[in-house]
Order: sequence, then C-alpha cells, then structure tokens
Amino acid sequence: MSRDDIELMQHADGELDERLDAEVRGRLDRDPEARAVVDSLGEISELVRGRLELAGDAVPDRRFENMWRTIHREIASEAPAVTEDAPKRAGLWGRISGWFDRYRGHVITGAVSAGAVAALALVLRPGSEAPTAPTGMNTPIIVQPAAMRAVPVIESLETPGANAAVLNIEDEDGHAAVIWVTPADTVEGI
Amino acid sequence: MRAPLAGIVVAAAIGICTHTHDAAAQPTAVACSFYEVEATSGKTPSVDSGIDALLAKRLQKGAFKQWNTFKLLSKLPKSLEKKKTEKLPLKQGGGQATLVEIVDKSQIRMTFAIDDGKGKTLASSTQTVDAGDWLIVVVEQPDKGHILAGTCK
Repeated sequence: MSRDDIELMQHADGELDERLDAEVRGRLDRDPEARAVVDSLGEISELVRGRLELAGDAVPDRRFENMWRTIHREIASEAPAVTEDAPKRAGLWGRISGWFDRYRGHVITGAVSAGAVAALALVLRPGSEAPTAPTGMNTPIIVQPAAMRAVPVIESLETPGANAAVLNIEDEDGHAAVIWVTPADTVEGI
Repeated sequence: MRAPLAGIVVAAAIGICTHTHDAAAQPTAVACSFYEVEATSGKTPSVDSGIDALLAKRLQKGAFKQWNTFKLLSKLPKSLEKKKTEKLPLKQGGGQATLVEIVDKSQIRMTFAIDDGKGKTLASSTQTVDAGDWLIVVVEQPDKGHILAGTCK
C-alpha cells in the first residue's frame, strides 16, 4: 500500500487536514484511477454499515422484552421485602425506627458533616494561636486576671555571704516577689 | 457503603479527641522579659523609659524609695524551655534562669540566679509565680542597687 493510497483512504474517512485534503481533491480531479479507488472505498463503507444495521434488526423484539423482564425481576428481588409485621410497628418507636430506616443515609451524612465542621471549628477557632509563644510552646500559658493570682512562693533561697529578705508587693496589677540581697561587706560598711 | 462512612466518622472523632488532648496538654515553654536596672539617688528623679511600666511603678514603692534614679542597663527577652537553663548576660555580672515546670497551666516554677561575674553567686532561688507577675532580685551595693527583674507568660 503506497502513501498515496493511505491519503486516499484518509480522504474517504475525512481524516486529512485542510491542506492535504485540497491536494487529494486536486489529484482526484486529474486522476480517474484515484477517483475510482475513492468511490470503491465509499461503497465498501456503505456495505459494512448496512450489514451491521441488518444484524441489529435481526434480533427479535421478544428477546429485548425478555431482557427487560429479567432486569426488573433482579431489581425487585434486591429491594427489602414488605413483611407482615410492618403494621405492628405503627407505634411511636416503630415510627421513629422506620424513619431512621428510611433516612439512615441522610442521618449518617449529617453526623459526618457535623463532626467535620466541629473539628474544623476547634482547629481554626480564633485565639487558638499564641502569637508571642516561643518555639516549642505547643500550648500557651494562661495569664490569670491580677485579682485571681496567687502570692508568689519562694521555695528556696541561697545568698552566700549575704543577708536576704523576701518581700511581696501586691497591687491592682498583681504581685511582685522581691528578693533583697545585702552583701555582708555592705552591711559592715554601713 | 457503611464501612467508608464509619471510617469517616471515626476519623472525625479522632481529630476532635486529638485536638482536645492537645488543648489539655501543659505548656512546655514561656516567653520572658528580663530587665537589668541600676538604682541610684540623684538630684532629679528619673526612670528610664525603656523600663516596663509595671516594673517602673513597683520601683517607686517601699524599700525602693531610697533611690530615685533608675537606669536601664539591659533588656533581655528570653524564651525559657522546660529544664533548659538560659544564661542572662548582664552589664554587671551575670544571671541564669531555668523553667522547672508549669503548674496548673498558669503558674511558673523556675530557678533564678545572679552572680558577680567573677564566679561568685550572689543569690540563687527557686520560686513559683503566676504568669504575668514579677520576680525582682535586688543586690544592694554601697550607694546604689543592682536590680534584675523578670516576668514570664
């Protein structure tokens, strides 16, 4: 099969770009043999299409009806059967459980959505970040209002060679623990 | 169909529980500000504008009234991590601070020490103070005071 034959086939199938298609059309005007090839390709296509359509028509309508009947039967067998105790569930609980049976998918979807929204709200809530928190501080420390703060506790104090006093200054701003160190030589100097 | 939905529900629950667990965790570090101040007596009272306003207010009360001039020698913002000692390079001597633990998410238990820069410890203490409150160490010297004050939150 030559390149020209391939181009003729592509022309017959409408697969050539505009420039090549114009060239092939010019060749068809000049070359009766090429025109004959293209005509035969068209006839072959028509023959194949007609054959396929005839094959489709050959399937009897009754067979299609059987196929549809089978599909309907399969769908019906998968649906939950309506049992005789259905009327017995007509009480309040029965109606509630029936409602859940019917809308289980909606309830679960709603619960999942609510959970996801709650999780996002917890994670993204304002104030969850500590802008001044140092590196490694995964949870910010709580700064109590001044009035609620406890008196500072000095657990141990060493002032080698000096005297020491501990004071607490308390005001409306909180507490200040004061460790007052007076070196011995300072005392002696006084 | 139910298995994937159950998986999503469990995943959302785990996400919430994990976040709640994080919120319940104790802080492991605090942000502190330390101020080194020299206190003297002068003809004109003055408080360095670089000194924190709350500290300046306390420096004019009680025993501090023997001085009327407070000059900021150095200001040291420090992040204290649990059990990690931070050195405080001072203009006069040196100091160090260690966060021991956070108590009840709002109180800071820490050790604090100040030395003369020649290897002699002038004061070393362990205390628990509320976040936002102050610890002030005063080393009295002839005619002046050397003050190291800090607050953490």
